[in-house]
Amino acid sequence: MDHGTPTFQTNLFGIPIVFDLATCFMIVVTSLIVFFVLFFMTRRLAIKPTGKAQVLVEWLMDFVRGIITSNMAWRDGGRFHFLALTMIVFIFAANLIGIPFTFVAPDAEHTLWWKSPTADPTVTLTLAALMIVMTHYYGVKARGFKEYAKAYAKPLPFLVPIKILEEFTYNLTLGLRLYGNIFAGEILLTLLLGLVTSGSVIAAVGGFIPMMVWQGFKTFIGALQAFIFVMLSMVYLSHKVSEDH
Amino acid sequence: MDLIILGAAGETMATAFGTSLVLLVSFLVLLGALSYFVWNPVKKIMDDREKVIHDDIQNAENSKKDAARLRDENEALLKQTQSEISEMFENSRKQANAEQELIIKEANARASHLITEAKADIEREKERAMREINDQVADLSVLIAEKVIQKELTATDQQELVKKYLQEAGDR
Repeated sequence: MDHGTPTFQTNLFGIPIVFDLATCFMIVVTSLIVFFVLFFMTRRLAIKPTGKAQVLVEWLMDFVRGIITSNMAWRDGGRFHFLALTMIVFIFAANLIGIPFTFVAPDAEHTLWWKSPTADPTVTLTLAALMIVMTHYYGVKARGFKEYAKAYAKPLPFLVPIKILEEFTYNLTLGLRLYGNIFAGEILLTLLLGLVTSGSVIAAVGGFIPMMVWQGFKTFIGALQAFIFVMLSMVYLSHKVSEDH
Repeated sequence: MDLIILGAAGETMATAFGTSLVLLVSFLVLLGALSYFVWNPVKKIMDDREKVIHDDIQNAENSKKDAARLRDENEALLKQTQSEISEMFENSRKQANAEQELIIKEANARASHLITEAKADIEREKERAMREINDQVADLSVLIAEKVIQKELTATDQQELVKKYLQEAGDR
């Protein structure tokens, strides 16, 4: 079941820069799909909505606004609205894009070209790092470096090492939770797909319904994980940005 | 087991910074594009709608206030008009009553005046009539007396009368 990974390596000042080509391809595809779907959903905007598309996008905006306002005042969190929106739709689409089909190149390594970008830890950890680094940036910006640094010594000064370590674990847990859920889902989906396409009629019939069930569940997981990722990002952001907690 | 879980993912996955770079770039581009083409217009529409609804509510409240004010004004006006009308009625009735009384009084006065005049006239006429009648009766009685005297006083009568008067004068 091992799939090969197409890589491209270049050296920048002696440091090897590795590109996972399949993942990069899927990132771009996901971004394009997300952009064009949303772009065409919002071409005919009206104060009195004429179609379901606008209502759906508006619902999404209210939903994400709800996520942010459940963690911090809108005065503080309003500027993260678009970021959180983009994050949730990107992760949602990235989680779902591996579900309907897959594509494995017919070469010796079974190179896997079509998968969820979020089934790659590099992707999820990068997104997590983006959010965590941002929390620090806005923490300093919103409250000043002194207040920001003081927050590490609260509630007790000897917890400082743990608090610093915590920032790294935030990053790891945020990224790996998403990765683990999606990657495990893809593995099981690949296994079920292998069962269905193994050639045996019984296996095909027996594997088909679990595969459908699993696809449905994976859709749910995809939406849930996108929500959790954004929710936790906003929780971490509010820790750094808000005064009161 | 490796210290960091990333190390366990396989040699090919190790430190794929290129992928991170691609992801960051594409995510930021996506963020910019979506913000410009999708989120901002939708947000604007939602804000506009909010404003429209707010305005509508404000207008409705204003209209309600206006309506209440107009109603009060109308009621006050109506009340005032009604009181004016009743006052006018009252006034006209009073006036009519007064006039009526005046007319009746005048009529009474005139009637009594007329009656007294008439009575006086009647008295005067009566007196005059009586006087005339008296005069006429006197004239008539004289006339009648003349006539009676002329007819009755014959020669014998005159002799008798003279005798009578002479006898009477002798007796005395």
